[in-house]
Amino acid sequence: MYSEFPNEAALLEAFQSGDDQQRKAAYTALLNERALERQTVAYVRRHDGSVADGEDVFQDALIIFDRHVRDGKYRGESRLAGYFMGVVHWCWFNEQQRRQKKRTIPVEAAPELSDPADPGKAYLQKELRERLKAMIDLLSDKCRQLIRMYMLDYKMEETAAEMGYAGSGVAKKESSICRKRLRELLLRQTDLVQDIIKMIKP
Amino acid sequence: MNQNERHQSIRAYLLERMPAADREAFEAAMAADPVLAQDVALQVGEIEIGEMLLEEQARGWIAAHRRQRTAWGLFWSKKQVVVTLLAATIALVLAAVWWFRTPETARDTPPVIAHQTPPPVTTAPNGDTAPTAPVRPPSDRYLALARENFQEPPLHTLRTPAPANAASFYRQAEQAYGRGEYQRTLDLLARTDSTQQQLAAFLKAHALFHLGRFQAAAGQFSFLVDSNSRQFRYDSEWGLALCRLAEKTTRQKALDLLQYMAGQPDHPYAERAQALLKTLSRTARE
Repeated sequence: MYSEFPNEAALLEAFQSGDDQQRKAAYTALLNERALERQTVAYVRRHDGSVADGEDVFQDALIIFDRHVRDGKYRGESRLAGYFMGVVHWCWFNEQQRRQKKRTIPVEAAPELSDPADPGKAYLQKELRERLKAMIDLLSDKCRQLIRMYMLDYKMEETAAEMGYAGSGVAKKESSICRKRLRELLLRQTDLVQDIIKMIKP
Repeated sequence: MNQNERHQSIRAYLLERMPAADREAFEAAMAADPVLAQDVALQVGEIEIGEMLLEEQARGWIAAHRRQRTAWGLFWSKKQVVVTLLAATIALVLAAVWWFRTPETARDTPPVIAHQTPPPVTTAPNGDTAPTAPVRPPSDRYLALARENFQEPPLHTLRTPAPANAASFYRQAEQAYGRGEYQRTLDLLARTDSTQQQLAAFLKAHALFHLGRFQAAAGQFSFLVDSNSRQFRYDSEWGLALCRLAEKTTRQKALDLLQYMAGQPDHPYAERAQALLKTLSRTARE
């Protein structure tokens, strides 16, 4: 069960940990769960998708599942496989909508993982994400790494150790510079910021 | 609220870690304060970019995992090919060892070939000039079967003293044959004249067979078959088949001839040919 993890709780803990190796092991454990992938592909195929679509959805669902665990949206109250398949349904529903293909899933059956009207719950629309992606290329590798650590709630001591800085003070300063740089990049994209504001306004 | 507290509030709001009451108040403040709204938007962008970086990292792990899985799949498929080739090589080596260590009688399998016409036979040399190939040791089992099934010629005058003339050389040869003096039989047959050509050839073939000169014997039988001798044709076909059977190099021809004979219901040796083929088949399996 889940490779090196004795139970689901241990697996979730690995996802939540900031440690890259732990997180990678958690991903690997789910990737090795062939039953999950088979179920995903079977679901997508049943709903007008191909095997390749199913594999893509499985990957997307893994990413989203990881985020849900880190954000505390999933704390292991239900069985992992059941929750994961809920994510899969949601992913495929969104993907079908995006493709503007014939909808095979009734709207009322759409998973309730996210309410697009609620900015706190919804993730950015794909179009906005695409525009943000262009900004990542403008960041240095060091900044990318520091922002990743910030996202994973690394303590400054951990960041310093990971990056080889002299101390937490340096780590804090470097992290702050990178985030400031990112904000500057965002502020240059006034249209983008306005679109985000429109999206998050209650 | 200082910058850090403001930042933490926005983060708590975006990550839904804010109590409901605070949340409502925060949303109200955001609606009234464009700067706060912009700060929230910037932090949304920051978080999303952070998430995209994490996603990039995770997709790298996924891709690596897939590559590894594919590589393992390829490795296993390559390994299967290697194992199959290895197994085939071992099988070939074992087969070669078996081939060279097993007596040839045990590995020859008579093929099942249905002939509708008699297979071609070699025209026999007509006389003492018949080539006498060196006697090679044929396989014991096939030779034994050939000898066991060999049909002796009818010898009518064994008890009658042979007259002392040229025509009587055939009679003397028959008598010598009856005594098992096969070389003398050949010597006497060499002195017969052309009027007894077929008789002489038939007896000569038998004598040669007993001397182990199967190719020469086959030549004599072939001559009689080609001559379409009414008297000796069928006996000669049978004799020819046995000569060929006894000789390793012509065994396939023997089998072809036996198949042909077995497939001719009106052939006097059809049943014997069938029986011999069965025996040969059994011998080969053993």
